[in-house]
Order: sequence, then structure tokens, then C-alpha cells
Amino acid sequence: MKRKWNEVPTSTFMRQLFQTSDLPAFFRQNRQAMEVPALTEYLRQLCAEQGLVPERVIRAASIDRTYGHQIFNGTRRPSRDKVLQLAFGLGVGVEETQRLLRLADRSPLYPKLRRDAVILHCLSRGRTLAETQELLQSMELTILGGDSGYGG
Amino acid sequence: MAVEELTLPAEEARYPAELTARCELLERLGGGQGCETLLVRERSGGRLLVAKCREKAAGGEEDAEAEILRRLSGPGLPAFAGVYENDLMRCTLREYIPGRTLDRVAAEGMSEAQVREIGLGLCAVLRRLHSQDPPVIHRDIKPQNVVLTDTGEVFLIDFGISRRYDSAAGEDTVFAGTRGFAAPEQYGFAQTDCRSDIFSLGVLLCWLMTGQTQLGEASAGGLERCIRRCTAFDPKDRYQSVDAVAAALRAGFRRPWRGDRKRRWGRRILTAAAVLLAAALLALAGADWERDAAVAFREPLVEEAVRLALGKEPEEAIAAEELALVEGVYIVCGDAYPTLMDYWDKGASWDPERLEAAGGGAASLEDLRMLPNLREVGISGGSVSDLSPLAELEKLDTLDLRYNQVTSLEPLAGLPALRLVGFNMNPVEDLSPLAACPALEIVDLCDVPGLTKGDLANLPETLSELTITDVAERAGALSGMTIRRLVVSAAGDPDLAVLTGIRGLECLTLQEAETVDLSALADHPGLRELTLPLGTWTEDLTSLLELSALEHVTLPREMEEAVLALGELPFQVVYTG
Repeated sequence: MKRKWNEVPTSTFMRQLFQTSDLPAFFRQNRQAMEVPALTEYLRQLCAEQGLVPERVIRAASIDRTYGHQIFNGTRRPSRDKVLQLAFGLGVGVEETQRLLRLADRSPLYPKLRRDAVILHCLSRGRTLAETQELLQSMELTILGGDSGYGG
Repeated sequence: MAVEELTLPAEEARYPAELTARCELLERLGGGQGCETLLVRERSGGRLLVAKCREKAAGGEEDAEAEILRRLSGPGLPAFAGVYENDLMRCTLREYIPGRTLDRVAAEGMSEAQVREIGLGLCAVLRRLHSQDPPVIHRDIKPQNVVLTDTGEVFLIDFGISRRYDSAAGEDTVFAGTRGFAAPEQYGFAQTDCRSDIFSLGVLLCWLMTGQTQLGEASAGGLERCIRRCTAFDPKDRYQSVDAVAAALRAGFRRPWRGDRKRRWGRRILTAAAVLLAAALLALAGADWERDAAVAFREPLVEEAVRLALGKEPEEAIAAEELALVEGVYIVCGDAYPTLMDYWDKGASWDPERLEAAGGGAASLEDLRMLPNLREVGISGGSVSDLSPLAELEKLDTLDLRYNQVTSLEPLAGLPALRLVGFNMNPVEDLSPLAACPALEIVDLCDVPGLTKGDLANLPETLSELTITDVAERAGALSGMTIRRLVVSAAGDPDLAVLTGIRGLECLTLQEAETVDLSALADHPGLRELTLPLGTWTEDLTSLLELSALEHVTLPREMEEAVLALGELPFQVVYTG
């Protein structure tokens, strides 16, 4: 069964939280909003927002088709690099990418590391995956998915 | 795109220069006050390591970890890989353990047997720490500091607050540990010793069973007593050694412990005398028990594969209940392997001479009847002919039997989970039983002699991948079938027109071909991927431009010039060789 993911704006949520006198009741009522959506749901939501179908995203992310669909249907937990490739495939920005990483249980991008900084830069400028890879390579950094033991 | 100039903040300069010279910093795994954990990779060799960097201003007992890891490496502990420092910080490097920490794993729920197994794994690691002179106390055993690898091995990481037991000291002065998991004496009542780790181990077991750090309403099942005793307030009421905890964990095991496989590393080196003594004792006292419980195998190679799966020594008895834990059996010619990966990579390695010369390979699958949870079978280079022992294996997913003597596939009909089969070089007579396998996706029939069009027509329509040889001899055999991925071994100059009539073709790989004429591919407008092997040559690549769905083409390096002559391409080309 698919659960529709309705996000309550955090500010509204915070206000309700401050006003409530019955904390357990607040948690009961808002259980759904507080539940973290699964990675697959968020991926689908982003697809819908960007007007893309998974097939297209997987292709643009240069991910093996079978592997890609396994990520989309939740049967495979993607490596960190694969999540980043998907973010480029989706054409989303930094905020969405960090959220994808969090939902995939992978560490967020960290601007104090060169490789992550390049990736953040490219995400914020709307660069394609190919452009990002080229930039990573030119700076002698490991390209996304470039190490089978780590990102592959 | 012209490579863009990018000026980055010089933040990496914070880290010791020798560290950044040796390793590329890949990922920040975590961090806190004045402390950062990074995943890094050695620039030469590519080994993944974890760097734990502590700012010197943050103080603390930062040297303990490096010293402990340097002295103690081996099963369950990450290997030490160096220490670097500059004015700002000190970074300790250790082996990266791929896997997941228990807090992540536990979110998926865990059976009591799994919890016992993890507990036993931890006992084995702690035994090594505690048996040092003076003993090493970890002092921070908690789910975040225990990594479970994909193969089920347990590693203890983060020795940041570990220390050597100082028998002269009265009490620890600084609280170190994690609230909820730390023993009461870690708050300063008394000096911590091995029993503090036993307390935390008990809390960990409790948390894995119930999600709580204290026994309460939720049941901790058969572990309740063990947890209660581990977590007694007064250290002298607890188990006094991890060996005692391990004994308690093992005692309640309904199923024998699979974790014996960890002995692969910690393999006890018994002297010849001890072996003899043990054998003599068994003969005297344990012989009756042995006869009742131990399983006998008909096929020695299957026995060897089962021993690998269970981590059993050659002389160790295997109890009938343990067989339910075996999920895979992998044999190539006369050698057994522990995983499917090894089977493909090392074992089979598809050395036809080795496989053909076989003799000495497995002959009978009879023993597989005893393995109800078998999911993967790879047995190649033997003389297997009878598949009937597989007929009841409802979980069987992968069956690769290349280079055997199988003729009838009848026993496979109706196997509900069977997804992949490989019968290369087997004299298979009739493929129709495969049509009755509802989950079948991938079929490998390379060099199956005498396959006819009629045979292939019996393959289920749901097939997504087929590998087949000498397609030319079976012109039209595949016509009318829907196959998404096709791998064709077609030595010489195959005529691709034989593929005409295959529907839905998306990926085509040709093996062994020499000269091919690609114009026939125009019949497959949905083709997305094309792979031609090394040594292939084709006169004319222009027909590729007509394939509008084409995305990836893999070609031998020799064709690069011909490709460049085509100008801008709507697909990606990768060269091999």
C-alpha cells in the first residue's frame, strides 16, 4: 500500500507544537507527518515534481538499469555515490540532495571536504552529471561511482 | 564543456598534510565536539580507511585508540593504519569495515537467535581485549560502535575512551561512556574493569531484544536472565568474565550457532596431541551422541561446501538442525567455495579446459534434499545428471550447473522461486519444464547441444535474459520470442539476420564474433545497449545511427577511428582493450 506523503510545513508544525497542552496526543495526531518518508517515496515525489519518469532519471544518472529500478522499488539500498548520481539525474538542488542522502542513511555532503565541495558546487549550479564528473576528474578526485568498493 | 576553474576554500588544509597526501578524503561519516570521523581512500592501492581526527584543544585520552589498535588487530577489530598530526589535530587511521552499525541493523528487527549470535561475536572480541595484560576495557559498548558486516561478522569499533585497567587506581575520575549503556561504576563509584564491559554488553543485548536499555514490559525472551545478570548493579553480582556470558548465550540456543564461521580467523591452533586427545575422548564418551545427531553426506564435495557455509572444521560434526542454516552450495570441479561471488570469480572463472577435464567433480545432488532453505546452487564441472533432489527446494533462486550431464529438467517444473538457471554444455533434452517456473528470468544455455526452435519456444515469455550459442545454426529459432537481454556466443562471422523476429530486444551482447554486419539490427528499433567483443570488426557503423533508442555501445578500441568518423553521436561509446 502506498501512503501519500503530505508534508506539513515545519513552521506550522512548530506553532502547533508550542500550542499543544497534551504532548502525547500531539504525537498521536501527527504521527504521519513526523514519520520519515521512505527513500523510495521521496524519489517518486521528486520525479513527479520534476516531471520525470524513473527510467529517464536512472538513465541520466548513468546507473545500471536493473540496479536503478531496485533503488526505486526499495529492494536495494543505494551507496552514497549512487544517491548523488540520482540527484543529478533528477536535476535537483542541494537541499533535496541532502534529504535524499539522509533518507538513504548516508552521510550528508560536507563542504569542508574537497570532493563534497565540488559536488555541492555542481548541484547548486545545476550542472549535469557528466559536467560534474569532468570537473571531479580534472581536480584528480574520484568520480561518482568511480570506485566499486565504495560507490559502485 | 570546458573544464571550469573552481577555487575551493582551503579547508582541507586543516587536516594533517601527510594524511591528505596519502589519502583522498571521501566522506564525513560523523562528528562531534572537536572530533570528526572521515572515510578516506589511499591514493595508491585504493584501500578504504577511517580517519578519526580529534582537535588537540578538545583534550581527552586521544592516544588510547591508536595504541590499542596498533597492539591488537585480528578478528572483530579493525586494523591500525597509521596516525598523523599537525598543530590542530591528531588523526588515527584504521581499516574501514564495510557493513552497518547495530543501531541501523536493529531497526529492521532481529530474532533472538541473531541477537545471541551477535552477543557471541562480541564476547569473542571482548575476550581478546580483556585477556591483555593489563586488560583493555572498551568502556563504550553500544549499538553505534558495533558493525555487522554483510557476512555476519561482528566488529567492535571506536576505542576512543578505552583504557588499560590500572589495578592501582581507586576510581575513574572522568565520566566516559554513553548514558544508558555505561555501567554505574563508570559514573565514578569505582574503577572500571572487565565487568563494566559486561554490563554494557547486557544493556546492548537488552536493547537489541526490546528496543529499551532496561528490562521492562517488553519481553527479552530467553535472554532475560542473561541480561539481568550482566546488568547487576554491583559488579560482583555480574558474570565475572565474557566467557561466562558466552556460555550463557550458547546454552539457550535452540539452533546451533552459525557464528562458528568466525573461527576462520580465530581458528584455534590445536596441537597434534590435543587433536588426538579430543578424538580419543570422543570415541570413549561422545560416540553415541555423534551417531544420533551428526549428519552423513553421500557426496564429499557437498559436505565440504556445507562445512564452508557453516564454518565447520573438517572433523567437526554437523547436526541435522544446522542444515537449515545453509543457503548456498558452490562447487567447481573438485573445489568447494563459500560464496556465489567466489564461485563466479575464482571458481568457475570459466576456464573451459579445467571444466571439461573435470572428473572428480560432484556426481550427485542427493545431499541437497537435506537443505530446506537452499537458495543458490552452483555446481559445475561434475557428472551430475539427476535433478530430482531439487524438486522440493521451494526457495531455490539460482541454479548453475554448467559442464554436467543433465538431460531432464522435469524436477524443476513448478519451483516457485527459481529465477536463474544455467545449463551450459549439458545435454539437456527438453526445456518445457522451465515454462512451469513462474519466477524464471535468466536462462543460460550456451553450448547446449541440439537445441531446436521447438525447444526454445518452450521458454517462458517472461524471460528477461537469455544466453545462447551458435545462433546461426538455429536460424529463426528465437523468432517470435520476447527477450530483453540477449547474449549470443556466435563465433566467426554471424549473420545477425537470425535475430530478426525477436521482440522487445533492448540489450544485445555478441561474444566471440569476428566480422559482423550490423545492418540487420535495424529490425530492433528498441535496442538500447550493444556490446561487441574484442577482436570484432565491422565494415559499416552507420546503421547504428538509425537505432534511435541506442544509448550505450561497447566496442573494441580498434574501432575508435571508425566511430570518430561518424561525427557527433546520439549514444555513448565505451571502448575495451
